[in-house]
Amino acid sequence: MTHSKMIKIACVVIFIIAGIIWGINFYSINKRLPNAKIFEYSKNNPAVADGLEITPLEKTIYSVDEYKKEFPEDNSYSYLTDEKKEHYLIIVFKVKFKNTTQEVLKFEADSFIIEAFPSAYHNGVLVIEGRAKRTIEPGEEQEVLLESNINDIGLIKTKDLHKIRSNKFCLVFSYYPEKKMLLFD
Amino acid sequence: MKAMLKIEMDRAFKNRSFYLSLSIGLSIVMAHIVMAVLVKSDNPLKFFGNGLTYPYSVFNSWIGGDSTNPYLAAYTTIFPILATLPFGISYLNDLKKGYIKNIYTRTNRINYCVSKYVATFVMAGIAVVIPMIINLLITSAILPSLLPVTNGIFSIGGGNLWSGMFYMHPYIYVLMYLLVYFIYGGVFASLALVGAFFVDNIFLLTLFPFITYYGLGLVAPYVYKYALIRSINPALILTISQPSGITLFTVIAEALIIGVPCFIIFIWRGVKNDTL
Repeated sequence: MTHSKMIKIACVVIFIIAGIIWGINFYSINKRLPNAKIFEYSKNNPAVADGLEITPLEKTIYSVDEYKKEFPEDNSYSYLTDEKKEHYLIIVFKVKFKNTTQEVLKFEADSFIIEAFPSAYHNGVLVIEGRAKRTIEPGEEQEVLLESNINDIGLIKTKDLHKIRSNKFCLVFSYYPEKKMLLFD
Repeated sequence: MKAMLKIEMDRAFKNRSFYLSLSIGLSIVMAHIVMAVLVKSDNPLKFFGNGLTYPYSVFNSWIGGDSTNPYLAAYTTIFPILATLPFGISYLNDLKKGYIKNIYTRTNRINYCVSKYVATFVMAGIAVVIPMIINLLITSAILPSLLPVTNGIFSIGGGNLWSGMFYMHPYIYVLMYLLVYFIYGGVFASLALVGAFFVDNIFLLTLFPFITYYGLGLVAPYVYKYALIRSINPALILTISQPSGITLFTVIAEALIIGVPCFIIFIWRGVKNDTL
């Protein structure tokens, strides 16, 4: 056996051993920490988290002018010039919270992140009226309006901005080990 | 042509500069593993609470996904040198050492030139991609391949290139980006081939792609305002976590604008060049 052939065989052996070690490690780490199981909740199938029932009611996408007309008391977007308005859409979610326990509960109504696919748009949300930190009495129901902006100045590609209405929208409230999200048709 | 290409590839693989380039690239990515990945592998759940937090994942921990690490910045800074070292200066060496005369007496000039271009392009691509793949493989063996999520710990936004792919099929996104690395490696190495017609000094020739690369970075802020173009800075284009807006148009156009003229000039001047 020539010297160069021995080197080649040694390289192949090392390569195979490295591959096996990599495979075992890859398998074990991904078995220990697998991808999150996905739980989707809808209007007819509300989520329950720590006794709080959360129901996704509806979502509406507005232009900036439409939003101002619908929510005249909210001046969050009054700084936008006419030129900039063209690059913005405002999305509003209506979510219902219900206390299913016998105790008073405290919760934060804006603990959600919006996800929209296939555009991969994501953003946080703000409560339109009232405070984000809330208290809810036993059996009480509260409807909360949450808003966020969609713009093609960093959050989304320009080509996706006006196709966004056909995206699948959800509000995520837990990522791991279970991904839990409210689905809006 | 096939025989000539085989000879050139063989020469390229036996070239010490190829292994020097690989060693430099591997040093950077291994430093990243030791300093930034191993600490996370001790406990991937370190900063994980519940709700909207998330464990460490391969896709925000490997060198291409970790937007705050200095190792990727170092890698992308010397990228054109890593690409040029393997075979980029071999044409000037062939001219200087007279090797090219032996070739031209035995084969068609165009065979040699095309083979030289292809070998240089491919070797540069391999030299810049292998360290990145090794970093990804090691990271994926010690951290979970958890799908990216949208809570802000993964730096790709909805407005970034291939963002949908990143969140749904992150390994495909990484492969697509490594293809960009391969092509940009080849393109910048081909600049050195063309530079050999104008520069007679090996040191300067090695720096020629680097100067072009750096020059594009200096010009980039002036064209950023155009939505179709955004950043033409190759160092930012090659930053996989995309801290700056880049467009597919620019990624393709920049490679074509540099690569195609380089190919044409190299073949045209190479065939016409009076070396005998």
